[in-house]
Amino acid sequence: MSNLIDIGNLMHLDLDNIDPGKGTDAPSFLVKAAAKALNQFGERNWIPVIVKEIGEDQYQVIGNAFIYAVAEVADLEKVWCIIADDREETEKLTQILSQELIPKINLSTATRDEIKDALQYLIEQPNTPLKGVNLLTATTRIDEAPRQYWKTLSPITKLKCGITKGKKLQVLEEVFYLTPEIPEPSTLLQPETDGNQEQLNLNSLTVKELKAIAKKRQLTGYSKLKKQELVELLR
Amino acid sequence: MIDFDPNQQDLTHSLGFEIEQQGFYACLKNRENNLEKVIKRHQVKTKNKTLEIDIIPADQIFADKSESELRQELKIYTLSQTLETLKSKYDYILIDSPPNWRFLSASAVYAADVVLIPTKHNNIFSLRNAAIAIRKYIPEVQNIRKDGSPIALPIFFNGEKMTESQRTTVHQAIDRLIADAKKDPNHPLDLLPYFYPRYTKSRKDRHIFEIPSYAYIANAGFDQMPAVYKNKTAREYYANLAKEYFLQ
Repeated sequence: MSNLIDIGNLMHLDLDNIDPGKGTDAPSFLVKAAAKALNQFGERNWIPVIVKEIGEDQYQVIGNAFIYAVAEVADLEKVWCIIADDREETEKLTQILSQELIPKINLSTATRDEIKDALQYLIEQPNTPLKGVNLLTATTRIDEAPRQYWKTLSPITKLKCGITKGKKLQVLEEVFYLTPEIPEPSTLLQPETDGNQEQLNLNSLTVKELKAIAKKRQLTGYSKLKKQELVELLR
Repeated sequence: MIDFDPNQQDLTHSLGFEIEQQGFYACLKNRENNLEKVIKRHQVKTKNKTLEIDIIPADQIFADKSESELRQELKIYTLSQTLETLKSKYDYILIDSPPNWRFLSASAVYAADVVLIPTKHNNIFSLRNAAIAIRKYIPEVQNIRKDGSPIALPIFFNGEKMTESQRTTVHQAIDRLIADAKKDPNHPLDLLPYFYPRYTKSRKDRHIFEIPSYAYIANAGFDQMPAVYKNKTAREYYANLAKEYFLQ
């Protein structure tokens, strides 16, 4: 009940009782200059640190770690905090809301506009590894690829849109995640004419799934084949 | 004895102490403050012995601060933690708590091993509130503490003398409260031991402990000492209460 539990409360907590958690990677200048401002303008951190309770009188920062760092440098004994619950999702969400964590979108289901926004965000970052990547081309090729089946982002490197293996592909992981669909074997029962797409689909399946399709098509002699040979057979 | 009822402050006044400002409150807010300093000793010397009780007087700050301000500074377990250091020094620590379910009373219940609820036989709300405390509020604290405590002691009547017809009425009212609690679809609870501790299937004993409020108990406030120091009848009543509830 709200009377006994502090979740959601704004509380004035001893800095000593708060574990900084992951800390902040904000530049030292920003922390120190903000601490000066905090000392100068009344010593009250109007933007609270977000903490979770980890024991009696023990708290841990889950969001606004910058404010905690500033309060520490400003030498405040107590800092204003909001108590959040201790779920992992809450921690993640708090960090997303305090812009300490970049939110990811699901590339398996994202709309074209979402993909475009995400790529644009990455391309416009300072020192982006995606320099020279054409936003519209990349968006179109990724949007039209059978990405609902992708288990990793690596098929993007085969789309000829300037995103190659290594740093370029890695940076995409900052904004995309995947929840791959398992293709219904029945949709693959007959070879399709669109060979390129079909191959991509088949390549994304496991040997076990490929063999299941071979069985459904009542093929024989597939049991000892390697993955590539299975893909060839089913194509 | 801790006067944790800052709006009423009766305990503090009736024993002749002053209301504090930033006394006990400061100790709760900052654990480094010296708790010993706020403890006052009430002493009465008789021919052959000295009667002593230590008191933590009511602190006006608790009454002046809003509920949300208190909750910004203190936690539900702060009182309990603060009293921890006193546990080894006293046989019993009694906390006088406000008659509501807000931060101060919840903190007092959280700090307690047992909860004693005085009720009035001629006030159905008083009985109903006791039932709510036992059914709802005390279990809430038990859920958080996870050590089974605190436990509610059977209620007792504190007030005007009861006539026989009043006794019948109050028994009927309590029987209804017990029946309701048993039928509660969410949390059925047997209130019988909390209202009729001596009741068994074979012996339907509806005894409830009573402390009648005689004039001399109320008058003790003028003497600034507990009624039991001066009055034999009061002493007997309270000795019985102690025996029934604490000395078994």
